[in-house]
Amino acid sequence: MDFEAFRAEVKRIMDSSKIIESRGELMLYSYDASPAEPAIPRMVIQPETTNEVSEVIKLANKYLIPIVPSSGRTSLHGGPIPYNGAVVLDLMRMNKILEVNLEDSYVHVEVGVRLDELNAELARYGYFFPPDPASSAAATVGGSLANGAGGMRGAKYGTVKDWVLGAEVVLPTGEPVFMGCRTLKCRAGYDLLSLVIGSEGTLGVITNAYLKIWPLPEAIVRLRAYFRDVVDAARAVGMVKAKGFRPLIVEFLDRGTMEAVSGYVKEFTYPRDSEAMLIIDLDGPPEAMKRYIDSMVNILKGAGGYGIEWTSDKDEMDRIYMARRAAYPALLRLFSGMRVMPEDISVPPSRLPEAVKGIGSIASKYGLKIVTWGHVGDGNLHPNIIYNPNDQSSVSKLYSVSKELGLMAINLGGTVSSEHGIGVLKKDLLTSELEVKGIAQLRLMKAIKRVFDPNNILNPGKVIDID
Amino acid sequence: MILINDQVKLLVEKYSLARCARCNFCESVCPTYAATRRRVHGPRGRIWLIIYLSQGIDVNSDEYDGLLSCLNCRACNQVCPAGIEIAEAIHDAKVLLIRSALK
Repeated sequence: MDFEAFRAEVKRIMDSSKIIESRGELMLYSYDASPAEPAIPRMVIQPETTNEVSEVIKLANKYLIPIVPSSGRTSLHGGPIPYNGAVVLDLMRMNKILEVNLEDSYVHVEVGVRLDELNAELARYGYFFPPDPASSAAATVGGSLANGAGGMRGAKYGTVKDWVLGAEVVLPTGEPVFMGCRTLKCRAGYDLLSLVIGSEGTLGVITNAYLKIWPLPEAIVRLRAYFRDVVDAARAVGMVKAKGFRPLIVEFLDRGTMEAVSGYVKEFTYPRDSEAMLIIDLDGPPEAMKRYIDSMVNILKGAGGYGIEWTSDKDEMDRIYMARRAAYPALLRLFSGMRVMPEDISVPPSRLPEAVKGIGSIASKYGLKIVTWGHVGDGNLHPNIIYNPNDQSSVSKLYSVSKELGLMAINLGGTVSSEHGIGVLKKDLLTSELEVKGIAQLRLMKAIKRVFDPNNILNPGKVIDID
Repeated sequence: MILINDQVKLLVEKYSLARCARCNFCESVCPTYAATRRRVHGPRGRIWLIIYLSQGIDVNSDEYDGLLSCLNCRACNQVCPAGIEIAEAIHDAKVLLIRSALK
C-alpha cells in the first residue's frame, strides 16, 4: 500500500473540489445507520463520471488502496464503513436521471439519485420503480442495487434484482463494462450483473443502470384487520396467498408496535384485546375492487380477523397507514437513551406463525424488548431490537439476539438477510446459513471475489473474508 | 477558533442530539446539501460536527462554513423520525461560533 503515491496521482487527475481530506468532514463518512464500529476514511473522493470512477479505481488497484463505494450511507449492517484506512468513493454527485423510455419500459439513471426522487419523476409519466425500502427518501439507486434492497411491495414485485436490465459497472481493476442488456430478455453468457447486484460494492462499482419501470396501479384499496393472536395474523397471510391474491403490500404490526404508536400519536387507538394488526393494499382495475374486497374480508374473518375496515379514500388510507408510518419514529422517541436495531429475516410465509412465536421467546430469554413489524406477504419480518448503546451488556445481548434470530430463520427454511445485506455484522450468520445449504458455496464466493478483485481492494472484509 | 466545549456539550444535551439514528432523511430535503453535495452542508453532517465538537475534536474553518451555510428553513425538522429540532440546534451552534469569534 502506497497511500502517498496514490494521493499525489489522484490530485493530478481530480479537481480539488472533489477531494475531501479534512478530519471533521472525513468523520462524516465513518458511520452508516448501523451499530457497526465506525472508522474514519483516509480520503473521500466525489467523482461525477464513470471515467473518473474508473481512473480512481485503476490507481487504487495500482497502489493497493482499499476503496469503499457509497452514496446515501443508510446501510444497516456496516457495509459502507471504511475500515483499515480505506478511501471512500462518494457517488452522490452522480445524480442525473438520464432517460425515461416508455416504449422500451426503462429508466436510465445514475446511482446517486434517491429512490423517492426517481419515483417522483416516473410518476409524471404514470409509471414507477416498484422496490421501496423504508429508507427510500434517503436511499439511492446505487445503494439499493448494491445491497439488493426490497421493501413493502416485495411480495408482489420482488427486490431490485428483478428490476435491473443492465448497468455500467467499473470492475475492481478499473475497467468499465456494461453488464446485462437494455432489453427484457438477455442470455449473453453468464449473468455477471446478478453477481454484482447485492454484492455490497465488493465486486464492482455501479455508476448508472437501466431499470425496468411499471405502470402505476389503476386503483388501490387498503384493508386493516386486528387479530387476538399473532399466529392467526400470520396464518391469514398464508390464506390470502393460497386464495390467489398477490397484494401490493401486507404489513404486519405486533402489539408492541401498536403500543408504541399509540404512545406517540394520540389519535391512534386499537382494540385492547388485539395482539396484531395487518394492513393490506390490493391493486387492480377499479371495477374488480368490490369483488376483491368481499373475498378478502371473508378470508380475514375466517382467520380470526376483526375490526376490519377498508377504504380507497386517500385521507382514510393515510389514517390507516399511520400505524405503520409512525412505528419507527415512535420507537426512536419513546425509548429515551436507547437505540433501535432493525433486524431483517425471512421465512417461508407458511412458517410465519412459528417465527413470530420464536421472536417472543428470544426476547424473553435475553430480556431485551423486541418490537416486530414486517412485510409479511413475502415472509419478511423486521424484529426491532431496543438496546442501550452505552451499556456493554445490552450491546452484547443485542448481538446474541441478532444471532439467534438469524439461526431461527435458517431453521425455519428462511434466510438471515432479506433486504438489508450482510455488511460486517452478519458475516458469521451468512456462514451458518451456507453450512446448512452447502458450505462449498462459501469457497465459490471467495473464488469469485478473487477473480473479480485480485488485489482485494474493493470494499474488502464485507460480506465474506477471503483469507 | 474553537467553540467552548462545555457550551457545546450543553447544546448536545439540550437537543438530545445523541438520538440521531443516522437515517439521513434530513439530508434528502436540505437545500444546501442539494446545492453542494458536501455532507458538512447537510443536516446530518452538521449535527455530527456539533457532536464531534462536544467531544473535543477539532473542526476546521471549512467545516465551520458548513454550520454557517444552514438557511434555517427547518425542512430537516419535518422529516426527522427522532424528532430532533435540528435547525434550532444548528442555529444555537452558530450563535456560539459567532460569539466566540467576536471575543
